[in-house]
Amino acid sequence: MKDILRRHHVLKEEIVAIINRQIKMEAHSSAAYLAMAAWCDVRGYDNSADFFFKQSDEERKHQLKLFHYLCDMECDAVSPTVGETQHDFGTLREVFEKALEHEIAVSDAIHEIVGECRKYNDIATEEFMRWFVQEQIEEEYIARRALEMFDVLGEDKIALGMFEERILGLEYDPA
Amino acid sequence: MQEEIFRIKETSIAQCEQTDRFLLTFEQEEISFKLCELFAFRKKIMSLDILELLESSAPDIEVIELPHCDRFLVLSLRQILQFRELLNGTFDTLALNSAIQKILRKNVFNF
Repeated sequence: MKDILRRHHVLKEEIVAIINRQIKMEAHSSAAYLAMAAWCDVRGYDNSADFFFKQSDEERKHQLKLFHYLCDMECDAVSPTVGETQHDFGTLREVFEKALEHEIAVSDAIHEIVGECRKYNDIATEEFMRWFVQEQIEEEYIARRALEMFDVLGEDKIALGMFEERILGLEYDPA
Repeated sequence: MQEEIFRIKETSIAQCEQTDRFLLTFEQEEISFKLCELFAFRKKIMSLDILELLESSAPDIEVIELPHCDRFLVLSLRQILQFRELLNGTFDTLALNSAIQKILRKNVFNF
């Protein structure tokens, strides 16, 4: 009997479900960063706003990368609904604290997917997820470095100005 | 060529080897599904709340839409349970066939 299941449904249902959950998480992250960008923008933190606009775009790209993967594997990719996101923050530092919390939650979720891939012996998806694992190392590093700048510079007006000058220059160099 | 995968009384699911589609025969009618559509159909059937249907004062029937073919099925509680068994049996058989084919594939490179 012809193996139609293998020909047209490459991934296990459990893997499809967990990737769809990740698609939703990335969509939520994109929306959350957009809210952070708006908060920064209206308060005159233009560079921080640009930083979060860029982060929002990145999360959307991650969402699409996962979405296309499911489509390419002939699996059901679910276009997610996005719930409420936090729009109010006390300080610029609090915004970056939230950003780091977000990145850590995303990293945990990515690692969980890799764990599931190993459980189901899905080597192809594990290999596909390797890019996301690397990406999260970079994202978490940048979020942590941003917070460390507050520790070094402080949070008075001059310090926030200096923070603004430096935030767009943050880069991860693994070398 | 059609291969029957699973049958419960007069309701059955077969696969068509030429088109890679699945054929549900139900009440003398045939409905064709692509694999992803069959997955979606199973998801709908499995997500029905049987307890709610039992406890509800409304008639115990559910309307299942099949958007891929612009049709719908009206199922009684008994038929829903039968469909669950049919779909579980179908997917278990497909998974078993997949496992067998995987072993057979090892013989493709006969060296």
